[in-house]
Formats: sequence, structure tokens, C-alpha cells
Amino acid sequence: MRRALILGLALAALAPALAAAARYGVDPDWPCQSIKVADLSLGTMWTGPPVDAYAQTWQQDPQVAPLAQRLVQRRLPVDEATAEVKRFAATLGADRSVKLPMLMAAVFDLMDTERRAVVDGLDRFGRRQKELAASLRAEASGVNAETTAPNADAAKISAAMQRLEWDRRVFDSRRQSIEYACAVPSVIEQRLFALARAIQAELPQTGK
Amino acid sequence: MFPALRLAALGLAGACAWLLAAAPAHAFTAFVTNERDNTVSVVDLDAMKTVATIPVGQRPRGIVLSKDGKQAYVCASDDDTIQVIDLASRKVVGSLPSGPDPETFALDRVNDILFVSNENDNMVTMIDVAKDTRLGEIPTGVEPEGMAISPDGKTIVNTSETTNMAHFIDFATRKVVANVLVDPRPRVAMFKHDGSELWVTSELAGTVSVIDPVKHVVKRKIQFQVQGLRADVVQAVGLRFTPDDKLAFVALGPSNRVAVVDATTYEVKKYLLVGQRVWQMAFTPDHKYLLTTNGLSNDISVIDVADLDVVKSIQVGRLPWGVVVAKQ
Repeated sequence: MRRALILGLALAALAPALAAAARYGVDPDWPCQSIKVADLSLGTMWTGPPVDAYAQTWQQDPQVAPLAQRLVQRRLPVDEATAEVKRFAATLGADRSVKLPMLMAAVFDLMDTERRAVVDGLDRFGRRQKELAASLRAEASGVNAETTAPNADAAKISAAMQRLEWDRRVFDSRRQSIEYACAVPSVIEQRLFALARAIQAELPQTGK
Repeated sequence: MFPALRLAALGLAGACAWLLAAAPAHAFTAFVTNERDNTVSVVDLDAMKTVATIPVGQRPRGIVLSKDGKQAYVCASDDDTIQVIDLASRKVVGSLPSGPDPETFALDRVNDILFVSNENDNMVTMIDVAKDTRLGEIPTGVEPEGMAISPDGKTIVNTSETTNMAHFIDFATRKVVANVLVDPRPRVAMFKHDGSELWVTSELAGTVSVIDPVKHVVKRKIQFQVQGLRADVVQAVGLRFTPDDKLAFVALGPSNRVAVVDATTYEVKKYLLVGQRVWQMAFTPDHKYLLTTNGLSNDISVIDVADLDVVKSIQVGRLPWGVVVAKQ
């Protein structure tokens, strides 16, 4: 009875992973509840002038490059970062219409790259978790076969069930730890949006 | 009355009139449900800032004002209840029998009946608000979502997230009288004020289906294309009509835009950049402003309806979902 219960629990532990895989048919390896968005679109946060021209040049700008590197650091509180954007804009003159879009190109480039690395990491995690789920399922089936065998070896079954229980715990703890990691792409997106809003507010035609 | 006294009275009346003129015409307060914080943010719209936070049940989503405007009802989805907030004291003062997992609802202001969408139960629950009793349940499609009531109170519409249908329910018989297929994952359904059309937003398709509520057919599809954005980030969710039914505002989710639609020609006039993952919307009672809840940037945007411009962003709690505005 107890064995059947443990086995049932072990199989139940696999259910969320399988359900998630079924739900997001496009990318069954994606381990998060949220829908996978591989890359960000500048258009979701920016209605200012085009920034494409600065995608390759911002690294060479002695003002914009170090500022952008500082602004994207998550340890710098968003309020301080947006205040820094305001201070930078105040130092600009006629070059405001160039430097601010260039700054936008820079922070977008840096944060989209950072976010993509996180998404790739989550993809790898998801694939590994799926492999673990498959092996756990096979292990559970093996134990099930052992318990129903005519000449079942009690000691062997007990050892196999302990191993299964341990593997299930590992699987579960990985699943729980992913919740925080799954929030990181959104955290980056939030910060990027706040920076875009701050930069845009300093543009003369859209500033409010 | 002695002339001197009459003069004094006139002076006092004049002073009062001046004082009234000097004070803001209306003081409006917005109440915003924060799905992740289990709170409702109280936003003073004169000061344009959050002034208080009310703790509520778990996973608050749908919110609607009571018939007299003195209370707000909040779907505490994970507590399987609807909480009643007294707006003056800013406290939860009671609850209504909602059925499991209430997500959204609509108040029939003619009969004071609340129609609640029970997402996990495939039911619409009817609650007599005055008597605090459940009148019954109407079986609908799988995963019911949006709720709408015709202006005459005779037709209830419920959208189903899984079957992609708008179910028309006759209030008198409590029976489903028509099912209209719309685009994938319908979210919000809303009648025009004159009852001539029902609009349904579809999140996955990013479209609005305009339905003839008499013939029960889709007469028009409205599509949204935001320059520079992939189609999959344009997801239609919240919906509001101006009182004259000339303009419609459609919240477009992760595109961070609200579309302004000419509700007569169905042409999109403008896309307004608001906050991240824009979800639901509410007008101020004078219809001068439209507020949007932005789930990812944790703020609400204030749209000037006459200028069609975003004039302010106000921080609220985490994952803001629904919003109502009361005269306070």
C-alpha cells in the first residue's frame, strides 16, 4: 500500500512538467509558466526617433558607452538610474536629438543581450529537466515492475524505492528553484522599459 | 430679513460659491487590484499618486463598483470569494458567495445582480447583491472569461477561453440562446451603450470581433498592426467605449499600446504607448481621463481622452489587474 502510494506520488511529481510541455507546444522545453519571448522589440517601449543608426556606433561614444554600462547594472536602483538619465540630458545641447537615441540604442543592445543569455540558460535548464523527467518515469516503471514480480526481492525493492524518492526530490527542488530564474527575463524587461521611458521623457517632442 | 443681514447672507453665499469654484470640480479616486501583492491600491487622481493600500484576499483580479458607488466588489480568485470594500473607510467589510475561482464579473445595474465568471467551474454564478445570496448558476463554455450585460439587462454574454465563443444567455430563461465563434482566447466582451453592437477582444489573435447582438453574427473584425512590432505581442484584452459610442479604446497587452478606434468606421486612429503589459481600463466618472493597468511596469497610465495623449504614469502594487474610479 505504502509502496503504491510513494510510486503514485513520484508519478504525480512529473505531471506539471508534462502539462507545461503540452501547453506550450511550440517550445516544449521552456520551463517557465510565462510564454517564451526570445527577443525584445524596441517598438514595445520606444516611440522616439529611429535608433538603428547607432547600433554599431554607441560603443565608440565616450559619454554614452560608459553611461549605458552603468545604467543597465541591476544593482543600481531604477530611481537612481532614471535620475542619472535626467542629469545626462541636462548636460546636452543641440546634440540631444543624437545622444539620447544613441543612449537608447546602447541600453537596448546591452539588456537584450543579457536577457537573451538568461533565456538561453532557461532553455538549457528546461531540456535537462525534461530528460530528468523521462529517466524518473522510466525508473518509476522499473520499480513498479519489481513490486509486481512473482518473486519480488523486498530488499532490492526497498533500495530502488529509496533511490526513486531521492531522484524525485532532486527533480522537485530543481523545479522550485526555477521559479526565481523564470522571473529574471521580466525583471530585465521592466528595467529596460523604465530606462526607455526616462530617456524618452527627455526628448523635446515627446517629453512630458 | 433686515437689509444688513440680507447683505451678509448674500456675502456668505457668494463666498461659498467662490470656495466651490476654487475647489476641484470632482475628486476622483481610483482603486486598482494588484494580483501579485494581494492588495488594492488607492490612487488620488487630483494628486495623481497612490495614497493608501488595502490588504485583500489572494489573487485579486476583477473589480467593479456597487450600484450606489459606495462599495467595490473584488474577485479574490484564489480565496474563492468576492470581497466587498467600503470605499470611504477603505476596508473589507464583507464577502459575497461567488463560487470557485471567480476571475471577472459584471454588475447588472438594472436588477443589482452580479454575474460572475468561475474560471475553473465552467459556470456563471448569479448573485443577488442586496440579499447577499446566490441565485443560481448557468453552465457555459469551458473556462469562462469575459462577462457583459446588455444595456436593457435582458442579455448576458460570457466568453469562453477554450471554445473561443461568446455565449449569449437570455436572462429571463437563464438559457444559452446563441454561441458565436470568435478568435482565439476571447477576453473582454462589451456592449456599446446603445446596445447596437457587442465587441469581443481576442488575446491570442490580437483582434476585436464586432458582433450583431440580434442576428448573433460577427459583422466585422478589427485588426491591429503596430509599426515595428511582431504580431504576437499585439494581444487584445481590455475594452472601453466613450459614452457617445464614437470611440473605443482597446488595450493591447505586451505591445504596451492602447489602440484608439473610431467605433463607427472601425478604423484605428492612433496607438498610445502606455506601461508594460496593459490589461484593463476604466474612465473617470467625467470621462475626461482613461486609466490603464500595466501588469509588468506595476503602474497605471492616465490617458487624456480629449487630447488622446498619455499624461501620467502612477506606481501601484505588483501586477495591477483591474481598476475602477469612484467619486470621493
